[in-house]
Amino acid sequence: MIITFLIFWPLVVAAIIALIRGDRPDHIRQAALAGTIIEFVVSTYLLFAFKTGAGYQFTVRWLWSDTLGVGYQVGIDGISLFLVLLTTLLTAISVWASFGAIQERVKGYFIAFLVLETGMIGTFCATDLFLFYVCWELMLLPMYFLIGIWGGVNRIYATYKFVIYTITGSLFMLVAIIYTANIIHKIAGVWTFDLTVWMQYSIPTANQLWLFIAFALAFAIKVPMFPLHTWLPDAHVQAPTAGSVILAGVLLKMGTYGFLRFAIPLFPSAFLDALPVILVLAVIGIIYGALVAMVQKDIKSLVAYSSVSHLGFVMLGLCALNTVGFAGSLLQQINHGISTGALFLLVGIIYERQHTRLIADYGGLFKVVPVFSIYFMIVMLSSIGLPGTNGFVGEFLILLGAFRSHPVAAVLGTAGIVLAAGYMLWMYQRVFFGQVTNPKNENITDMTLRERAILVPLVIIIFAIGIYPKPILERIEPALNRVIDRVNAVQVVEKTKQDELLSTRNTYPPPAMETKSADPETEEEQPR
Amino acid sequence: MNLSLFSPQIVLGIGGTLLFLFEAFASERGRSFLPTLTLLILALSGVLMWKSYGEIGVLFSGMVVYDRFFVFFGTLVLLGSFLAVSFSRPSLQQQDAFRGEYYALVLFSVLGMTLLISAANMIIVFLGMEIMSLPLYIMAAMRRGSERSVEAGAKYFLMGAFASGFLLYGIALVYGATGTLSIEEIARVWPRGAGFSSLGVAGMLLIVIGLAFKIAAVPFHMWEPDAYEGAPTAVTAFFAAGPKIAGFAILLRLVSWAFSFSDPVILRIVWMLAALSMTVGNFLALTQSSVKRMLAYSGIAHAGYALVGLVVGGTVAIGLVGYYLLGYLLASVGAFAVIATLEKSQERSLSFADCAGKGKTNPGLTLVLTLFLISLAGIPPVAGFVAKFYIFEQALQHGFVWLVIIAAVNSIVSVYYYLRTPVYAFMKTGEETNPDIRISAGLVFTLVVAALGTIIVGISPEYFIKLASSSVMWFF
Repeated sequence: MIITFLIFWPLVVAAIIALIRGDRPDHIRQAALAGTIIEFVVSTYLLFAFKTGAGYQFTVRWLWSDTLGVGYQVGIDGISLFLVLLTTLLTAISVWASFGAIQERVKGYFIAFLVLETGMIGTFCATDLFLFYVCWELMLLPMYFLIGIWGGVNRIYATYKFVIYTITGSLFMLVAIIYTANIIHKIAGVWTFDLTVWMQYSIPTANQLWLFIAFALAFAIKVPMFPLHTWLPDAHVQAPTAGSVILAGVLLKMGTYGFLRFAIPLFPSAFLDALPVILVLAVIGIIYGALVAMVQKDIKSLVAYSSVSHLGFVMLGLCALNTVGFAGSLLQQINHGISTGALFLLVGIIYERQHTRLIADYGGLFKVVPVFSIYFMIVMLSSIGLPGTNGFVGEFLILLGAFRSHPVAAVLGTAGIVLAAGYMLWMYQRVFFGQVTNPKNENITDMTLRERAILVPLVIIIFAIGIYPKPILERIEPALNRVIDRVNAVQVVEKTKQDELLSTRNTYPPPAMETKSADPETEEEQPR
Repeated sequence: MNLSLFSPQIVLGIGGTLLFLFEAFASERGRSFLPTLTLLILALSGVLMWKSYGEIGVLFSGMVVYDRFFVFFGTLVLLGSFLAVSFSRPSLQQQDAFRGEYYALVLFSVLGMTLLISAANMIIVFLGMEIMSLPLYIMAAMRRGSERSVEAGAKYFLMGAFASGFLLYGIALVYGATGTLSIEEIARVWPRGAGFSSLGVAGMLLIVIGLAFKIAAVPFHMWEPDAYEGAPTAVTAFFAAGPKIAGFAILLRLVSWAFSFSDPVILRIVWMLAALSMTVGNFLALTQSSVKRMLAYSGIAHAGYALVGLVVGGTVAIGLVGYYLLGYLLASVGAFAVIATLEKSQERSLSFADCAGKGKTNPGLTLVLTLFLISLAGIPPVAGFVAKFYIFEQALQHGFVWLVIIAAVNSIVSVYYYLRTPVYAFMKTGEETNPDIRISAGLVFTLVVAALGTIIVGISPEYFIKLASSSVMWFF
């Protein structure tokens, strides 16, 4: 029931807002904020009621079309739990952050935002692939309007690009979903789109590769993986601040979540086949994103390209195919949502005051706005991955996992961290240190109470995860292990069958060794 | 013979005749009641149609049949016409095309459609087709002063005449091959599987081509954009609602009852028709600058999607074509109704640029228009998406993977042009003044029914799909 509430409550709030008169923007803002805060508070209940390692929980099952086996089926496991919490938190924060920036068509803006929240929660909670697809597409339209109506100068180009990229991937995924259902129908004799039923069967290896490619295309566009990332800088730079926060914080996670939830466990052998390609693209993404970020003149597009790099890390963690790498990957998704979301908020705060995001227009801000500078520094350091912040834990786990299975890729990935420190610190130096070179910047007001209130929770989380990640890791690991087990099962079969394949794949530790070597490590990380 | 089973058609025929007479002698004030009278007659016909739902009756010694199929598709046609007529008066008046004959012609055309849908004999197929089409040609040219409108009528007429020729020739060849005109008899002698006489196959092909003209499948689509654009917009809505659905209905009846597509050559040809319609329709729609013309090409593309269901065949897939058409009908009639309202000039049709800023001046209209376009684009959770999903599902189940991939690629393309109108309306700035836009009660009715229908058909598809599948059940 609680998940159903979380999915539909934003729609209820949106309906209430639709009834408020358009000439009372303050009421609309307050209603939206109250609604999203209630949503967040309710969602924290999940954290307490969640039973570690118990598979899908809080499930609701309601058949919508019995001929096709399509239904409203939702549930949460370790993989989706924190992503849902991240969504509710970031939505509430983004709504609050939009109070000042959005003055035009306030009503439509908040309605779009709430519908977006429904889509996001639905996507993370759906355990029926039809429902998943519906929610996946449901996110598209509000975002299309958010960028297209409230975006920057070049917003129409950006919104088109965003929509066309996303829908290109998702329609092929739709075909693949139906095709897989068809295969399941042939094996099991029933029509169903229920993921838990799908997981009981294995898709014939001959079909897996194309289906995996279709799923992976949709997810890789969302992640976005190099070379499908080109929509992201446009969309980020043009979107309003809160739109960027949600886009970076949550929507990008849909891609990596999709890999974890659908593409990898459903098509494990195809994933193994495609793994070298994904690995190479992930590493290219890490380095390319960092290099391009370094030369950006605009702070917002610098943060956007840093997302490409960070999401490369997340994919690298998935390629590691062991508990440590997976856990780091999922943790890094949450971290990236927090840190990059906070970065976009900070960029938005300074943009609202000065109406420029160009690095060259700033300089010496530390003297003018010390509080802002300190917040910015904390968030930036978390994004770089300084020990003690959340970013460190995630990146460390990813690299630890990756070193075991793909040492070369891990070494190259480490270069990404160095580069990240480079572009972030260089940007920070140019913007905040030195003398105030631009006379316009001499009298900027520092962060207001509202702006501090928005950022304080994020900063707390940054340190909380950085210092004590165990509560998160122990909840996500059982679910991740199930995914790994599915892949390993295939590996065992393939190894016994094909010797020559074994010799090319001997970089993977055999599953038996894997669990042995992984166990002490995980215990060291999180003593139970 | 139970004549009451034929009463829907009788009501339409008598109603049309009476309206003609009434129109000739009525005063100007009396004429303003014509739309209401038309709606009443359409509604009465619909009620009579549903009165004996479930029965199967063959009338006039095997000429006409009353069955669930007739009720389902007849209802679609009546619903579409009802919605198209309901908002027609202010829109026609604005375009200087309000003439009393229009309403009588609508009724005659709908009579032709219902006859076509209920045909059990090839002669009735031809008769129904002609009764349906002749009024359409006149209606397209309703704006007598406008060159475009007259051109639309002439083009439609010429192409329609060709189509009738194909159809008639095909009927003759099928008669030659089977020795009968009764669809039921043809079904009995028509070989399932191999063993086609080339005469019969040629006849069937010609019939399919003749009907492909009516549903505007590529490469027999040339008339549609011009006819749609030139005709007054209220008439265009009727074009999208009526003839296309009636054409599909008879195609489904013939193909699923009389002929079978088990011959690989024919199957491949219909496959090509579907693929070409989707691709050409969508790609040409991309290049349009007029919203009406864009919707005309989108109508061609949607004929392609629906043909996918026909290629697949079988109770479920054929039933799904009915469901698909229901979703298409609601969205396209609704969209044309909005366009008819937003149109300003009489000569030039509404362009995308004209929509700029309309999201501010007419938020309600543009929002429902967006809803219809989203449904046409097949984005969840509205009717268009669910219909597309089910059609894809059927096609994949029967192994038409490539056709589905073509359809999916086309859907991607289509999103671009469907979203253009909302982009202009909501994201670009236009004139801030609110031009004289009249919202009549009829328009509100059309939009509310179409919008609610689009949502309801999408959210609870099961009932409608069962209705559609049960309508074709007895052919198999």
